[in-house]
Amino acid sequence: MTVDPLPDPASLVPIEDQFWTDYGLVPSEATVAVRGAPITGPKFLAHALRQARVYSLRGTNMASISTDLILPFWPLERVLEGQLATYSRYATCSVASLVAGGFEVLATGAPPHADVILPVLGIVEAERLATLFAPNEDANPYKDRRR
Amino acid sequence: MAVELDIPCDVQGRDREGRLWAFLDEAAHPEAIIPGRHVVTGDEADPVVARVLDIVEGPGGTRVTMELIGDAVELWQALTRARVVAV
Repeated sequence: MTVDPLPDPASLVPIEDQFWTDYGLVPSEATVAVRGAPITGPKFLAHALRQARVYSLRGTNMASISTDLILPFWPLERVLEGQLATYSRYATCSVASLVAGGFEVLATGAPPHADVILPVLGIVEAERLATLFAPNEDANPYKDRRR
Repeated sequence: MAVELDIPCDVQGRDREGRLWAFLDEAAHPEAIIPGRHVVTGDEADPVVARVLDIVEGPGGTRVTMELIGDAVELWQALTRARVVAV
């Protein structure tokens, strides 16, 4: 899947209009992000490319991966049973590790959703992000429970 | 047998109204992407069934919005249990 060139960001939806906190800042109590599997660079790149065709961030195409934040009122179990109900597997990564790795995290859409921004749209950054999530991959017990 | 999705999407990356969305140019079966019809979407590991709501031209391409119906395997199990489809 390739899109060359990406659409003019001025014609896209500014993600700034979809922040659910001031400036999209991640709430301080949100320490972990959750992502449904597959946790792979190519899959992350495909997702990021789609985002970059729809959304802009600060006037540029936004290459990002959708995640959900663990919050006091939105624990992991609620995310696994809700947003990730159709995913067999998932992975977690601390927000601090993402930020330390150079990935901006923004509270976007509706709580507890967050976008993790790739500094550059490409397989290198997508693989690097997947590497942060991959060590903490696990089965989603709520999916098997329904079958 | 490998799963062949009608159209891939990121089930976790819904729009603000909670709908799934995808680009028509990624569809393996574009002829199946018709408003009101059911399609298999998501990814190969965890395919889901969704109903196509709308198809809209945009600056990034033709965008398809969909309503999630449920896990594809779970739906298949329900249909076979009710003998709507044969095993």
